[in-house]
Amino acid sequence: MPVKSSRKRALWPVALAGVALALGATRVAAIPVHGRVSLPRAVASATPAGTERARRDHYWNVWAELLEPASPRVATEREVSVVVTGTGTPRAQGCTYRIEGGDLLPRTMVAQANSRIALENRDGTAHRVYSDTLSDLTPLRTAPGRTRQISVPGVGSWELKDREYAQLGGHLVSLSDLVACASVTSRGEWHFRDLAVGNYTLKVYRAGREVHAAPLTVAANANEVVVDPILLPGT
Amino acid sequence: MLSRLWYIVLAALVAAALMAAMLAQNAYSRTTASRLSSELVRDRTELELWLRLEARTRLDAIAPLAANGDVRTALASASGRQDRSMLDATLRSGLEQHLTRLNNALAAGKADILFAVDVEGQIIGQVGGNPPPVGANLGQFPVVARALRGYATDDVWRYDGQLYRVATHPVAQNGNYVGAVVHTAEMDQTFAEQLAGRIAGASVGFFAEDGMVASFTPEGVANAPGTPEFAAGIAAARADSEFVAGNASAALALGTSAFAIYAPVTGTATHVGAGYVVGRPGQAVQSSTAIFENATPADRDRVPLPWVLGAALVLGLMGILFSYLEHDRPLKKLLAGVRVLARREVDRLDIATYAGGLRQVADDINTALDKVASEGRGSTPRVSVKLDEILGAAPMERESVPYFGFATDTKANVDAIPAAPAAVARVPIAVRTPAPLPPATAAAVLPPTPPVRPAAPEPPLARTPPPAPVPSGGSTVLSGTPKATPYELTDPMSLVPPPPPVRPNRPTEAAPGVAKDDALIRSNTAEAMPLPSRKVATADEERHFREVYDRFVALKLECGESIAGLTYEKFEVTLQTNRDAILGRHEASRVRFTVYNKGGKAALRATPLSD
Repeated sequence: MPVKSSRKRALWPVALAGVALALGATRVAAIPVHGRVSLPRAVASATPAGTERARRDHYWNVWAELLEPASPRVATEREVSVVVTGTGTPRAQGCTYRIEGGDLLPRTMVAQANSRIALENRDGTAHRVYSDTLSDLTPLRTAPGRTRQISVPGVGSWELKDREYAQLGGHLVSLSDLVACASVTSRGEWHFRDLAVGNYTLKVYRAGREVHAAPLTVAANANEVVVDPILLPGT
Repeated sequence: MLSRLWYIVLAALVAAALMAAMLAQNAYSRTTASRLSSELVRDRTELELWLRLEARTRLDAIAPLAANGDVRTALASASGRQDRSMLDATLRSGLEQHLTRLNNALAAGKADILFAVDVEGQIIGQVGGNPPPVGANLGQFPVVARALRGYATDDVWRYDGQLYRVATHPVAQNGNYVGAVVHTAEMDQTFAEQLAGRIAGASVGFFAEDGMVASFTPEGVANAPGTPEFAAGIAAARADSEFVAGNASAALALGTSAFAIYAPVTGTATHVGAGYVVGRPGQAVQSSTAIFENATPADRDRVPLPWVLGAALVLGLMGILFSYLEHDRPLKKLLAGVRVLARREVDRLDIATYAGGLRQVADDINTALDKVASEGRGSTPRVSVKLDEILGAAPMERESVPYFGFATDTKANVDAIPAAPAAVARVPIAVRTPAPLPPATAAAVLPPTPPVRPAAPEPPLARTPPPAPVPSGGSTVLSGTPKATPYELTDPMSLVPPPPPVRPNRPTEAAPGVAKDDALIRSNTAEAMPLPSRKVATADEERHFREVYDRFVALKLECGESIAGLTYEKFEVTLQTNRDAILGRHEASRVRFTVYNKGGKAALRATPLSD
């Protein structure tokens, strides 16, 4: 994986040299890492048009004749989870899990094994997330604005559903060496805010499965690490 | 027999009527259920059309909201902001004011919750409902996602615990989609009432999971199903194959009083098992008698009541008639006979005039009379009742002295065992004895031609005996010809034939009524009725007479009676005499005698037999 280094642009007064050196030592231990992930077009078109469920979802679905119909939006931030695994500490840095817009964000929740995670409901309606394969995850009601604690068992992957809404669906993936979770934008841009120097494995999860994995080295002398774009294979 | 048969006929008619009523009940219930099922299918189809139309109506109603300039401007601003985690409060409040105004303008179509979302689906403004958390988003709800792509569409949600009909319309500004307006209306009792009002007589409800959300039951409709009945039927609906396949269920019975069709809603709320139900009261007949309750006056008018009543009247009268003929009338006859008997106008009942059980009753009465008479006379031998019954008018018994001495030990002697009474060999016997007789008896045989009037005055002894019996000493002369009835010859000596008609040319005939002395009677009998005058006994008969004689003698000895003078010859004459007398009264070919013990004395019983 090629890694680019940045150069220092500003010159600091000599009086502050000592302080700068001390801060520089700290930055070496927490370097931002970012990149971009792209989903195949076909997969991004996720509207289940023509299916039985879609047909029964509505009486009317007529073009409003305001503008040309827009293409379905690709919710990459929901579809993929970008994480690094390794021996670094702390564990599960930057990992957040929430229900937003009527669905999980992200849909694949990668978590540290044998830990507890918080699932926040940011919707205006209650949800009852559960898993058919994870017995401890029962359809407990999570009121709007509330957070539900979920115990993550050992390494594994479990499908998640919602008793209230069919569109909510995802997976819980438990890893034993999860280091950090990246934040992903709707355009597929991801970044780790502060990743300690070390050797990691960059992994991308989608639909509960690992769809990409690559070694990631965060050098001590790097200001930031930029990862080449990741194009996920189509399914 | 007729009355009994009539009971069977009536029972069969009643059974047929009951069966017809039950068949009618089942047929009526089946027809009603079929008709109700068809009606519910139409109701469900109509309800579905109303829901579809209502969704379209709301879509059209919110189009002006989506086109409102203030709304478009506000959503365009919201969609264009850089930091999507922040929202200008002024923008939000301004948008909600516009939404409130526009929503109120919808009047009856006013939304319970009206959302305005930006291009990402984030709630920018909301009217009604609970305030959403900061940054709340609806973008992944399918109906909102479709609207954000430019479609006017609808759905059914369960949002925050309530069922809502949802209509969304995209909002565009400056050539871009900037958001959508989301109109929701709760599926509550008011809406159920509105729908039920369009389907007369039907109950309408909405359910989700295993409970009812809302329902409406029309007033004035008996047994119309309501929330409890609908809720109880949800489980059955979920087991219905059509419902599982996403279609309307079959018409399901709600207990015994109603039927309903369950159908899933058209929307994503089917995920929580949301659906609607339309029901009507059942009109099945619960019992056979309920048919009358369900009949309308027009139904009753069509019944040919006069014919029904006439048939019932005729059947009843026939039953009464049969009962009278077979019960009341014979009983009255017996009662009259008993009254006559009580007035002592007769000494006995004529059992031949009665039939069935009453004959036995009459016989028992006669037997009782005999016993009373016998006890009243002490040791006086009683007269056989049976004799009179068999032979009709008989010579009057004289002072309880029988014609024959078998049963009277004290008077039994050789002479006391008669050959036969004088009347025995008279006409009936002669008529039934076509075989040639000895010359000595030829004169006693009646010619087959009609009787000839006497050419000379009759001798005193040859006078005709009185045709009617003379009551005396408990003896009763009865008429009638009981057929094939064993004759109880309690006293063989009483086997006296009925008085025959007088034959003027029968000098040897002795009239019993004239005889005042037993000896004279016996003498007359012995002399006037020689054995040849009777039907000659066949070898078989003679063997039978022998056997009877032997048994009779043995039984008399066994009973301690004297058999002095009881010779076979005399005994045979007696049997022949009585045989002939019986044959003269019955259409029988032979007579069998049996010996039995009656009250400690040997007695005989004669039974006429046919070949």
